[in-house]
Amino acid sequence: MTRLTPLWLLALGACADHRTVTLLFGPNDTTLTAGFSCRDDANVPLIERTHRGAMYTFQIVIDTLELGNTYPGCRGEELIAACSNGGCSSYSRYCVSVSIAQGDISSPAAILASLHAQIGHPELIASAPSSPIVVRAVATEQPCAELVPAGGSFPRLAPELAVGCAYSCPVVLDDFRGSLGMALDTLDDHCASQVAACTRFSL
Amino acid sequence: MPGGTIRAVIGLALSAACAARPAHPVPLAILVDSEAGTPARLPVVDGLSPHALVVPASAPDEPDRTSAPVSRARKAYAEGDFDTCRAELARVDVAGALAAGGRDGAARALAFDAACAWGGQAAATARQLAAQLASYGLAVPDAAIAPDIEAVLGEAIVAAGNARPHPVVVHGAAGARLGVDGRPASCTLPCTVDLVPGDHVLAVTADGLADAHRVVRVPDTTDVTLAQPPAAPPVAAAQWRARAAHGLPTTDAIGARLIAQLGRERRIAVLHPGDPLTGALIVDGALVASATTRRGDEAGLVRELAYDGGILARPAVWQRPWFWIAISGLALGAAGTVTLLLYHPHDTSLRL
Repeated sequence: MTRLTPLWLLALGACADHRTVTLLFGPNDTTLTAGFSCRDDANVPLIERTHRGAMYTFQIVIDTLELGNTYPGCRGEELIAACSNGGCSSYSRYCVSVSIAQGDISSPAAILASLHAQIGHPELIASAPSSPIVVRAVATEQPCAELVPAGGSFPRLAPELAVGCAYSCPVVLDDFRGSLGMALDTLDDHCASQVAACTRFSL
Repeated sequence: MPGGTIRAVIGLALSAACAARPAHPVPLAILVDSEAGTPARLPVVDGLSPHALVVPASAPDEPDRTSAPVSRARKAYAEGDFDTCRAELARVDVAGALAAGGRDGAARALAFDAACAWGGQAAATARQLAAQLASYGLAVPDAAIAPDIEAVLGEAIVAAGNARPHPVVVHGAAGARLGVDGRPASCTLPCTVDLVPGDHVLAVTADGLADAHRVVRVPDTTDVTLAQPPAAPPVAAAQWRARAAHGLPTTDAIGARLIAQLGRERRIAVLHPGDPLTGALIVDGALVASATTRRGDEAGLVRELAYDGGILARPAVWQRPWFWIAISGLALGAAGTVTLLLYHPHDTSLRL
């Protein structure tokens, strides 16, 4: 039995429970959160800033923020408080350029279909940390080349270039079941300032 | 993996952990070098069949076969019965007495023999016996013999003292000790001794061999070989005990040969009780291994001797228990490290 113990341990190691959590740009896989439909004070949709010809071209930046020992609630002020003392840190970043046809821009389902048609379902985190995380997605005019992490440092997103933003509730992915939705804490579509605050959050 | 295959693998692993054993237990005599002489309990070792070896009683000392005949001859001489005197002295082995170092007895026997021959009107025989006493280098004994024969004996001694010695080369077992005319050993074989003309008794002794002697006549003999047969067990036992009594090692090369002779065994393990416990292994009369271990571990000592002496095959590294203990420990450590590095109760990824 003693000689077989290492084999049992190896077998145990090989039996880890591997799961995948799907990130959604809204409350479900066919709905886009209001955070990507915000308008400025002139009542112009922020996404219009990316309108070039017949296409809307922008970058999707998805950041994973690790909350460390804190496990705050979903509300924006709770997250701000949790991360105010440097308790949060960037864990990973994914950035990709996408283009949405002018005809699809008014349909959330069409936008999502177009996004996935272009970028598929990329893996954002291969192995989730055991601490709570928040996932944030930002639509921005800022090029990916400016946002590539280097030397453990994640370049800041420019709030003035952001055209949409949403974030998830804090979760421990290992304990999470289902799909992880994102949203922006706003009551109407005049939420340009919330987009800027969401973009600035933690970084 | 099917159950039969698992059992086969486990069976192979278990058999690998066992040392190879001889088909039949190897007989091994155990001799305890102590006052007790025999082990209280024979050590139990896989592959060996130990049995106790008891050192036989030493051969008794040679009885005195000289004093009694000489006393009777002396009495007959005093009574003038010269024939009886000489008949009694004919029983005395003068050469044997000298070989055993009995110079006084030999001197008395020869002196009375010469006196009785002189008294019996055998003057030539008397002079011949006187010459023999003189060539052996013996002194005239302090005994009541007639002055005339005492004078004959004295003349013979003076003549021998004036004679020119002749070299005699003596061969035999290398290292055997040579004694001449009952004197203590003067050299070891091969050697050359200078002897005056006349009879001489050459006697040799050597550990492991029976004593031997021979009478030679000088100058007729210039080269002589003394053969010695192997010592019988009681003689070998006496020689082994004598070495121990003189403080010599009991299991050196000579001691090992004596033990093999006294025990008449091919393989003998000699244990020296004490702390630490020491031992030696003798195979075919040769010391092939020696070992030391802690007191009381007779079985461990005998096992080590058997390994070192080639009686048992020492188990390969992978056949020893500590090897598997070490391997298991290393495997356990490696597995633990791998597990710590790779094992996650929930390995979760996030996809878009």
